[in-house]
Amino acid sequence: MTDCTNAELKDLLPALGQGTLDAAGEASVRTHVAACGDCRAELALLEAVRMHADAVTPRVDTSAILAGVLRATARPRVLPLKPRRPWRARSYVAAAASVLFVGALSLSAIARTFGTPDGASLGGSPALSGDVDSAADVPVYAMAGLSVGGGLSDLTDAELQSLLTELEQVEATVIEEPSTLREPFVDTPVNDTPEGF
Amino acid sequence: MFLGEPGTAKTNPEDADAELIARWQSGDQRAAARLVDRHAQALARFATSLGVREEIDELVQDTFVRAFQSLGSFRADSALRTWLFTILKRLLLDRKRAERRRRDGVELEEAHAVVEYDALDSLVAEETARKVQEAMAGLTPMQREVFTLRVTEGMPYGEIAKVVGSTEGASRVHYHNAMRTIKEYLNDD
Repeated sequence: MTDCTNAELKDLLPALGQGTLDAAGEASVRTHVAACGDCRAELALLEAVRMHADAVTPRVDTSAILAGVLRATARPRVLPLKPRRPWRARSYVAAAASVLFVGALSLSAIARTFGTPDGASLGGSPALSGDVDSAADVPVYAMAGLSVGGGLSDLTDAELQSLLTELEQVEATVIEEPSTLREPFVDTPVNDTPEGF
Repeated sequence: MFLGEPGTAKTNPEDADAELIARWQSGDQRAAARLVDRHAQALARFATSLGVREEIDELVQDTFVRAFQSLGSFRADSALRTWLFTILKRLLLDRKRAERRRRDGVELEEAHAVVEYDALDSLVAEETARKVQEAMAGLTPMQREVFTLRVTEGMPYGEIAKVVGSTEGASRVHYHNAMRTIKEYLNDD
C-alpha cells in the first residue's frame, strides 16, 4: 500500500471521525478515502484509538460533579435583618432618655454649684455657702446640689414630645444596618487560571 | 472544514458554549448543567490519556469549579474546552507536585509531569485496541498528548498548541510523528 500524498485531505481524517466537518468537507474526504487504501487504514486506526480511549475512560457522574460545582461556587445569600422586638426598641429609647435626664441633672447641679451663665456667683447654693436660714427654704434636692431647674421638668409637653421624637430618630439610626454589609457578595477571581484564552 | 479552522461551516459548539456561559453568569443553573454535560466526559478522557487512574471525577469537578470561578478571565479567544483542558492539566500538575513533595520532596519538572501511560490491563480486550495501547506507550508524552487531543477530541492544531504549550506547527509535527511511530509499531508486530 502506497503512502497517501494528499496531506491536506489526510489531515482531515480525525475531523471526519469526529463528525466535525461540514457537509462539503465530509463528502470530499469520503470520496478520497474510498479511493485511498492508506487513508482507509489510517481512518480505521483512528477509530481504534478512539474506541480505546472510550474503553479505558470511566464514565463520570455528571450529576455529582454538577452538585459539587454548584456547592463550591454558590454565592452566600445576604442574610435578612432580624426583626427587632418592640420591647428591645423601647428599652433603647428608655436608656437614651435616662442618659439625657441624668446629663441634664448633672449640668444643672454644676450650674448651681459653680455659677450660671447669667452671672450668678460660684457657691450660690445656700447649702454650700452656709446660709442656714435661707437654706431652710430650699428643697432638699437643691441643698444636695441637685436641681431639676432647667431640666426635663421645665419642659412643656410640646418640648417633651419634640425631645421624644428626636430620641426616636436616634433609635432608628441604631437599628439601621451599615450599608456596607448589604453589598452583594462578589467572588474573588482566582488568579492562577490560564490566561490568553 | 475543521471546526475552528478555515472552512468550518457546521454549527459551532463554541457559540453554544458562549451562550451557556452568559446564561450561567446571569444565574441560570441549568446552563451550568449543560456545560458540565457537554465537557465532563471529554475532560475525563483527557485526564485518562494523561495517565490519571484515580479520582477522575474529583479532578473534573475541580476543573469546573476553577473554571466557573474564573469565567471573568475567559476571553473566548479559544474554545471553552481548550481552556478547560488547560485548567485540568494545571490542576493535575499541582496534584502531582504535591504528591511528589509528600513522597520525597523532589520538585516535579513540568516537562516530565505526564509520563505515565500504564498498561491499561484487562479493560481492553480487543486485540487491535491492545496493540494501539502498546503503540501509544512508545510515544513521548508530548506526542501522546497531541495525538490524543487530535484524534479523540478532534481539536485543531491551534487549539492543541494552547493546551500543550507549543506552537501550531510543532503540534502538527508531533501529531505526524506520533502517527508514524504507531504505524511502524503495528506493522512490525
